[in-house]
Order: sequence, then C-alpha cells, then structure tokens
Amino acid sequence: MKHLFKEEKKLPLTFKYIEHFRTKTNNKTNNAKGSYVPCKRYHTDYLLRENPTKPLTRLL
Amino acid sequence: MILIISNNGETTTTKVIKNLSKMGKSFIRIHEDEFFDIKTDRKRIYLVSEKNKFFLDEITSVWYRRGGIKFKRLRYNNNAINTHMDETQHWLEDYVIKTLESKKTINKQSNSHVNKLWVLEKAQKAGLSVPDFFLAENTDEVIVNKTITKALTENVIIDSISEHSDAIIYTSIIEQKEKKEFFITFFQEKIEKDFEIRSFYLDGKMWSTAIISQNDEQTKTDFRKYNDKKPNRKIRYQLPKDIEEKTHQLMQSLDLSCGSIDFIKSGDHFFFLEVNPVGQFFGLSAMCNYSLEKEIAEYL
Repeated sequence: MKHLFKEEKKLPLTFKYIEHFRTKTNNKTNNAKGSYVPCKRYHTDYLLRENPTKPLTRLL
Repeated sequence: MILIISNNGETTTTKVIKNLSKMGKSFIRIHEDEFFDIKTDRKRIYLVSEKNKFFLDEITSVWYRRGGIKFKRLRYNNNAINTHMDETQHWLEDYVIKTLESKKTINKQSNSHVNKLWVLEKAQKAGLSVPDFFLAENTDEVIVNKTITKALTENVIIDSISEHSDAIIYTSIIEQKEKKEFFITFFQEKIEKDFEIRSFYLDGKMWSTAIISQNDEQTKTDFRKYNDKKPNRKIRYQLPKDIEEKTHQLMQSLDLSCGSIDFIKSGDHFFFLEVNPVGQFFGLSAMCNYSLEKEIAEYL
C-alpha cells in the first residue's frame, strides 16, 4: 500500500481498499455551491435551498 | 436560552433550529470558525466572539452537534510566565466547558469522539453480541473472505489524497492474504446479514430503521456505498426490548445521551457494530417519518 501512495512508512491494510471519488472533472459539473444561501434566521451561511420534505402522514 | 455547538454548514442543525423557531425557543448557534474571549461582568462570566455574546448562567441546555467551542489564548514574552498563564487560561476554559456540560445536554464536547475499539469492548460488557475483532500487522490470523477490515478513525473520508481526488475507506472484505506486514489494522469477523439496522438514540429512547442492503452487490458490505439508481429499501424497525436495554446501558457507560448506532441482524442474532455520537440521521428520519429533528428540539 505504501508504494501505492508513495509513502515510506507502513499504512493499514484499509488503504488497499480505498476508493477515490470527486475527480476534478466531476467538480466542473458540481453545482452544489449554488444550492446554499446565507441565512440570518437560522444562523448559518449555508442554508440548503430545497423543496420541503413531505412527511408521509401529510400524503394520507 | 439553548446553546447549539455546530458547524456552519451542518444542515441537520438547521432542521432542528427550524423546529426550535416554531416552538418559540430562543437559541444561540456557534460555529467552528468562532473564537471566544472569557470575560466577566458584575461577578457573572460571559463568552464573547465576533458573532455572539452570552452569559454562562443564561444557558439552560446545550446541544453539542459538531465542531466545538474554541477560545482565544494570550501569549506572553517571558517563557515562564507564558507557561503559568497557559495553565491559568486552560483552567478557565475547562471551567467554562464543565459549567456548560453540567446543564441539560445532548452530548458533550469533551466526550463526543469515541474510540471504536473501546466502544466494542464496552458493548460486550453491556451484553451485546459483537463480531469477533482483533488488531494485526499481517494476515496470518485472517480468514480470507470471512473477515472484514475498516478504518479506526471517525472520519472515513480523506480529502485531497491526490491532486485530482478525495478518497473514502469503506468496510471491505479481505479477499487475499498479504505477503508483507502493514501498519496495525482492524479486522472483524464478517457476519452474513439478513439486513442492517441503523438506530438513533436519544436519552434512553430509540428509533430504528432496517436497511435492506444485502441484495445489492454494491451495498452488501457497506450500505454507505449508496446505489443512487436503485436505493436500498429503508423501513421502520423495532429492535427487541433487551437489545434496546443493553444499548441504553452501553450509552450510559460511554456517558453519551445521543448517537447513531449500527447493528446487523443475522438469523435470531443482533450484532452491534459501532456508535457514532455525531452521525447523520436526517435522511433516515425523513424516510421513516420519525421527525427526529423535532424530538431534539423538544428535548432541549
């Protein structure tokens, strides 16, 4: 594993099974940043813009 | 006044705050990027940052979600004075944290990061079934295809591992022996599961969800390898009373009032896997209509 990551010291065996994701090409199409807005009421700079979830009971 | 310690971008915190607003409960939300000064005013202690200011005696309950309260520390030129003042400031900060944690709390900053190995031992002592586990630097004791490995860390995502990507360490089955030694690794007996169970625990009460992940090659070893095209079926589930009671004992022994707990069911057995005090629960809450964010808001 250490050769895979060009490390001199030993790494745990978990590194053999590591999975890579979120490549640069993916980032180009990732528009997640546009989904957040600052919100004073809830004290956050990252309020997620989303459709409200509808509890099942409301659909009955 | 409710104090919420969280991260700026943590969406579940916002869901709880929406419920607090609806209930007319006042709150202060503090973030990972805030640094507080400890000040006094007429024998009362207050904390002040660029965004927030509050007296300790105003706070009635505390929800430690993520992040933590950070303090500004003064540095002194004289090394001896600096060491003394460092300790002085440490004890002041310690007093503030202890005072806040002595109030009604959902988890605590001081013990919200748990050691997976320690938790497994505690779970065994509480009477829960735990798949056999061990640490090793080679695969001599590993039974191929019947042993899994996973990270000892709380966070399994490694950001920017290379120039172009992040990485994630899922639970994986060991498929072959290794010739060379490696850094100490966690191994655990692989259990053939009927399904996985994710439970949310709050102050002795549990809400559980069965995750039917075993029929999908992608999710059968780790359901977090989400299949977005065909998501796992998730349904409400009631754990047996004795499992809930033992889990309650475990959480008490860890001094945790809240957390997400993973089990797997195999035949008549329920195997405890791990507890995550700061785990994400909103997805399962919405899926099973548990309204856990409302439960938290009511508790605070």
